[in-house]
Amino acid sequence: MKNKVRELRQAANMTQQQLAELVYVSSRTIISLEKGQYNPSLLLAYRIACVFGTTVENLYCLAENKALEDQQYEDLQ
Amino acid sequence: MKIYSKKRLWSGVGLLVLAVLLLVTMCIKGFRAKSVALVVVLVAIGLGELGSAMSRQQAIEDREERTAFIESKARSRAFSLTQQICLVLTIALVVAGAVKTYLPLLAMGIATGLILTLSTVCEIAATIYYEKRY
Repeated sequence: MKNKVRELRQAANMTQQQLAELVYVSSRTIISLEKGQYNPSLLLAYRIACVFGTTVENLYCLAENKALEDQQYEDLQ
Repeated sequence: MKIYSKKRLWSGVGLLVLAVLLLVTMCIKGFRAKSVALVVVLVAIGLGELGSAMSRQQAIEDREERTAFIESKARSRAFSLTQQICLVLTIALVVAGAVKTYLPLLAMGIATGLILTLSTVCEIAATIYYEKRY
């Protein structure tokens, strides 16, 4: 899923390890999140959003991702 | 030194105790290369577990959701693969046993077939359970 984790982290001059420690995960998880290989749980997404002072909707571009996913369900409409 | 994982601590202690017991046995019965190698391996793994028990980073990795997700995915995939292998083996062994009229092969085929049946029943039961729960 597309997200702004890397963008916001770099804007905050934070390393992946520093972000990982703030949200109680390993740096490997942060790497996976930034690459979009792994989608976090609601709570983890909220924790990360709180670190950057933003919303989960903005952090994970939910409107955009929803529009993309809606295209997959076009045949069911 | 803080202990972050009691499970790993006891696992490490257990392995070290096993190593000591093996060493004592070797002192009584004599030293053999395989036993010495086993002691070295047990000590190495035991000390590794003790180190992990005191590692905050390891404790975080053990508890985080991604680790649980990967473990769940890996187990699920391993289960599917095992079922597929059992299916192939069952068919191959039963056919080979029938063609060659060799009972042990047929018996092995029936055994793998039983394992496949058991795994399928367990999968259905687990599906019904989680359907109701979630």
